[in-house]
Amino acid sequence: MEATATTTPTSPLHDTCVTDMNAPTFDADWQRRAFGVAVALSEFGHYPWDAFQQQLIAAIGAWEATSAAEQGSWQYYEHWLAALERVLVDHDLVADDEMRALLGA
Amino acid sequence: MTVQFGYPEDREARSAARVRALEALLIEKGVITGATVDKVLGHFETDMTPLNGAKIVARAWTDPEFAERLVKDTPAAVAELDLPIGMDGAEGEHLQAVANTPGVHNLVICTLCSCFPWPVLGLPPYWYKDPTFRARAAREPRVVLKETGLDLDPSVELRVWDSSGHSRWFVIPQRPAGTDGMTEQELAALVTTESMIGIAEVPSPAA
Repeated sequence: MEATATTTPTSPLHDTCVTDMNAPTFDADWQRRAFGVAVALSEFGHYPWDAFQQQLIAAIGAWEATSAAEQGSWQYYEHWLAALERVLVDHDLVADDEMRALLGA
Repeated sequence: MTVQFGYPEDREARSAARVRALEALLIEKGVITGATVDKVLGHFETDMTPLNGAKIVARAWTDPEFAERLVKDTPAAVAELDLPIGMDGAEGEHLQAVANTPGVHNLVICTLCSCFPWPVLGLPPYWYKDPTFRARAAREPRVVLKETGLDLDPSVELRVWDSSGHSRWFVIPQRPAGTDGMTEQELAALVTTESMIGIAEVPSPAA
């Protein structure tokens, strides 16, 4: 990590990332749906947003604690999806066995 | 898609299938409807955009008393403006504005995940969620700012605000030179998302 700090990359941020006024926010429709479902459930009172946030922090924390060789490339919405699955079970919106069946499918 | 940001196709397909199955199950169980999700997404994609933040900043530039109220009680000040309904929901209730001055520059980050003031800035840009950016911006914010093109004078105090579920920070950048006599609407068009995160300043239109 320190090596990154001392080098001077010519373009640390991508043009498409720093001029995001009109850029698409989602790379794929599943990311968009996962976002919409998580927010909709919270907005309609199925769980407090904090509960989702804590699961998201935990999912990202687990990824960051994994060694670089094992963690695979960064995909934010995979963590988002994992957090959604956990919060749904935590709040009894989806039963444990239903979730297992779904993940095994 | 470039190789750098690519990842295995089956990983992508698996995630897509999981989301489809999950949404279908929730609909089948009567927890939500597809239309509800569409409505929430539409709200985010059309109503909650950086244009809201830009209007707030432009008002603060032209009305010093509003600027003062904005920093003291952000949700109340935001409610004074004619913005899309629902500004106080979706985490808008935790909005907190911080103002740049000649001697103080503010930078908003979220070290833990990607907390962001959705109602005023829309959804966060890609790099805001990037793990390297999140870690480095906390550890060496001046270096990160310099790399992204903002070389702060050493005399300028840099305040870094770590967002959380309870504080959704956004920055009121300094009004750039060469904007005397511009209307509020013209000023709003100058304000960028990056400046409201604090990763950049608002460039002078004369430059």
